[in-house]
Amino acid sequence: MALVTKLKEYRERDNFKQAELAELVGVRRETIVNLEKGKYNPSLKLAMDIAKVFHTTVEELFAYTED
Amino acid sequence: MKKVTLKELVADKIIFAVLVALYYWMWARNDWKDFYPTIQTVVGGFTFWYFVFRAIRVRKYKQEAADEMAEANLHRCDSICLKVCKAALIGIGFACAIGRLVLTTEVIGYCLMGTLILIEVVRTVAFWLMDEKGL
Repeated sequence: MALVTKLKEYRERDNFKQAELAELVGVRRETIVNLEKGKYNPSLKLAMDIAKVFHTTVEELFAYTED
Repeated sequence: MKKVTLKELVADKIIFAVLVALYYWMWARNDWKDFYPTIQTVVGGFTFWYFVFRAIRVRKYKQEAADEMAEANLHRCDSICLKVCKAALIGIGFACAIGRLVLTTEVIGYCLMGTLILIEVVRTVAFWLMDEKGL
């Protein structure tokens, strides 16, 4: 199962840079980069913090697909 | 003061390993030269200063919010390094068995100290690669 994310779409919609988003949720820019690429699975807390920034839900931002 | 990264704390361990190896040398050496007390004093002074400096940086790291991806990468890296360490110890063990008539405990000790430094270097490089390249 692969993690797919709409993180980049939401980030660009709200005009956030990766570094700015990273600062808001307390991680490094590299973490946001890897999240957007689907290379890193966030913890529940981080997923919820990011969803809060974009005023959306975790399910809207992240989803698993069958490979 | 600059933000403390996990990369910095991981790379620090190489210095600690070298200091442990130096202390081993001080205990295990068989010769004596006039400049050895100078080396001991310098190493001792540096060790004290370095421990204090690193303790301040570690305390600062704990006060800052830790990056979860870096910590996850470090756990993966430690898992790999544990296997490398096991392989190294098995290698040293068998080398000791084969060379038991020639090897002294002093030499075995140097092998173990060398392994310690090697493991810390491998851990640092592996962690940096995982973190940078997302491997």
